[in-house]
Amino acid sequence: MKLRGFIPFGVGLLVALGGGWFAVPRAMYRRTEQPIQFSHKTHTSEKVGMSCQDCHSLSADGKFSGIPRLETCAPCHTEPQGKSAEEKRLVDEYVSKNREIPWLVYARQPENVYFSHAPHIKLAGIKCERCHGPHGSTGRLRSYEQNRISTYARDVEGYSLVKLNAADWQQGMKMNDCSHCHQQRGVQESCLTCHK
Amino acid sequence: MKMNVTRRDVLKFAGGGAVGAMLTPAPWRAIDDLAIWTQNWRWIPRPPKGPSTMRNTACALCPAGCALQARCIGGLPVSMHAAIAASPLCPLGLTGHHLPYHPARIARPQRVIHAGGSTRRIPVPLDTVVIAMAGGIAEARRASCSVAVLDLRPGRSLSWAWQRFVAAISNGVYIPAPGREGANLTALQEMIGSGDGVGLDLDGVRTIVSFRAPLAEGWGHRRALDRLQDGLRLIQVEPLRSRTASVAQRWLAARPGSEAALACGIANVLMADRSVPFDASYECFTPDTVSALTGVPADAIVATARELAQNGPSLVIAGEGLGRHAEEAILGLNLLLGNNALVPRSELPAPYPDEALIAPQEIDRVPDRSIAVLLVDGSGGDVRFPWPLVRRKLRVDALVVALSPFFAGSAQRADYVVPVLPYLETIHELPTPIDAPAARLAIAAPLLPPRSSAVDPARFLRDIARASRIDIPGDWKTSEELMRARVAVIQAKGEGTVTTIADGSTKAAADFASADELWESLIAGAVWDGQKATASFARKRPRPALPPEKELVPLKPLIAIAHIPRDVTASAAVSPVMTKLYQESGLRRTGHMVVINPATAGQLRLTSGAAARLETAAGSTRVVIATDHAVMPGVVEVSAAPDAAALGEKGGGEASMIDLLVPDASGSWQSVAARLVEA
Repeated sequence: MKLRGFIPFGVGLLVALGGGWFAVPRAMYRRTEQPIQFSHKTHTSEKVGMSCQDCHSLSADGKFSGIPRLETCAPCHTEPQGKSAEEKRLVDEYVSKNREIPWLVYARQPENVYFSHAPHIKLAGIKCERCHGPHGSTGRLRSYEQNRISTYARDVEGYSLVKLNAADWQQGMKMNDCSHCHQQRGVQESCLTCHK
Repeated sequence: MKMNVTRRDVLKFAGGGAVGAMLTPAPWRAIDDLAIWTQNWRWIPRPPKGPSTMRNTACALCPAGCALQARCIGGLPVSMHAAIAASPLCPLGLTGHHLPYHPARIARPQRVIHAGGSTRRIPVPLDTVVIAMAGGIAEARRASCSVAVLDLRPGRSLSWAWQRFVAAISNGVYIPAPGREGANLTALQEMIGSGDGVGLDLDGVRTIVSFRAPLAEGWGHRRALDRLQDGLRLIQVEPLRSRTASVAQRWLAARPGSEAALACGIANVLMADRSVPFDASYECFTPDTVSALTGVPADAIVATARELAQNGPSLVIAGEGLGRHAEEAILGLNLLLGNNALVPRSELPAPYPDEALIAPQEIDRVPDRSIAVLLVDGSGGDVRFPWPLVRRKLRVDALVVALSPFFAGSAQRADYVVPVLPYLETIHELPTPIDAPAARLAIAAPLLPPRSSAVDPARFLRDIARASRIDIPGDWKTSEELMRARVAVIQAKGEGTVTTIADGSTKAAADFASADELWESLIAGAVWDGQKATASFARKRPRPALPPEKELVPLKPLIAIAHIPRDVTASAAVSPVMTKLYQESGLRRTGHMVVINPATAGQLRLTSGAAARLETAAGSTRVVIATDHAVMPGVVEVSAAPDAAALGEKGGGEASMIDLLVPDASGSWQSVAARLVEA
């Protein structure tokens, strides 16, 4: 009967562990679908033949055009090219109305962070996938997950709470993650590098 | 089997839950997210998103007026860059765009009550301040006391308006800021007996002997610093190895207060070498005698004099606050050398032609206890100087009103503070810097929308004048209208050239079709330079004034000297980013740190980091000792730090260190007898 005394404690322990490891992380994020289900796979297929740089380009002066504007899509999509319902929505709701697509940016850094793609791509030679995952080969866009409290995107905060068994891009893009990567590569950093 | 759930079971369940929760990342993550949430409250201002643009303007935080480019996002400045790559901005200039958001910013006029070492501020309507000023002026007129304006940034169009204002009052006094650059040139002007101003033409100069002038620390328009890169030889006379002394070819560590004797010693060598006409009155200043007085080796004095004579054209420059006799002896060396670098310089034209202006009066020439009403105009920037210099000129019941964007610096001494717009929220005028050979005008354009509660100083002046029934010519109502009037005078004269900093192109002022066109060019970042005088003062050769006998008596055992870096004192408030950096890095001295030579520390039995009391004739304050070989023995370096009150630290109580440096009988507040005792 001595063991019986531990049952309530054990149940409480298990409930909290389950909640803390599984339920809370799920409940912590609000999921929103992107306005259009864009297929990277279709656009980079042999048939279409586009490359990443056609939409996400780094100009000569170092400016990075992260999310393409409507003017990038419009030349090919003034009329639907296929039978996709999503493409029809693109043409009807955005291209024909000349309305920008309100993409939800997975990797949007907060206001107090200055980040430049140029040194990371050109100098450090880091691949896009390192931070953004295998995005270019997916057939549909992931849900945009936003922390209900901090309002940060999940790509910024990281997918794994303890960072075990997570791919590099799932580790997150918070200050510690940037700093960790810089230290690994022997990059000098100061507060004013990222916080102007 | 029936199980009864007892209260104990519930508590055990809760305990298990608590322990379990601690073993998950959830509570720790929640703490982190909550911390981020507090940074994203809706009422926290956010910079707008928008296109990135660059705007050319000038930095108005100090008289140098460095050309700069402001990077703007959505029209608001987010970073400052030097427009000329070879002239990088100082820390103050780099963070100038933070100042409009400074926590010490004043939103409304305030009555300041000073009692028991603390201050209390009460918001009041602007009319209350105007009525108090008008009442004070009326009372001063009745009592035959002075009404004074202390202009912390003289030479502006608004300065003309203040001069005109006090000229209309029977006992009006216009006082330019003590410690400002170029204040000592009036001594030279009087020696020459010239009605013109004195300009320094550094273009052809090959050697400069500087007596404590901070040439490499943001002096003038930084022309000397540029010339150093072109091979100019610099000999720095200073009791500490400042940044200027570090870049100089020779550093002469002369005892503070002995500068006049050193100048006379140099003159003695020049005469002995027959480089200048002989004067028997200098015979006693032999290199050995002067060496004993100054601490500078005799051969260094001889070498300096010979370099001045042989590697000409040469120029001798005095820093500020050395005292009248020292300034005359030092600057007079230029006349002895027949210096071509000293040129007559016309000052910027008045916005309105007017004969009734009152002449500026230096603070040391104002009678003690004579001022009943003092207006401190800090709308153009701040200058750090010992406040007792001003306080002893005030009557006991004097009314002090300050115009300032911040409750910091001189504004803390006032009875009323009137908020004005800071740099970047309004147009600022940058009059001629000390190292310009001709008149010069730059204008800093506003890049931010103004805060509606701030007061235009010109409008405030008009209000006081109206309330005091004083008539001032011109139909201007705002500071901008005053500046435009000055630009119109320049355009009408058609003299000088306008240089566009962005592309280096120049255009004659006469080629501007209208005053508006010239104004638009200046507001876009161009600079107007007047015509250089063709003549110089070279042929005038009055001998330098000799120091009085008392300057030749043995020096005090310990002398406190002021070190006032412009990049932390030109604005009453400094960016919180920089003050935090200064506090944590030691890049600048803190408000209560003094620096002495390790030998001096040994003699006084003090160690680095020890607490001590710094005592002068003006009082005492608690300080922390730092030791450094860069300070000569027998000297205490007292640095002006970012204003403690503007850092959010507790003000009042202990005296500010700079305020302890009250002038001695010869008027020098740069060298004051002091004592350091263990606290």
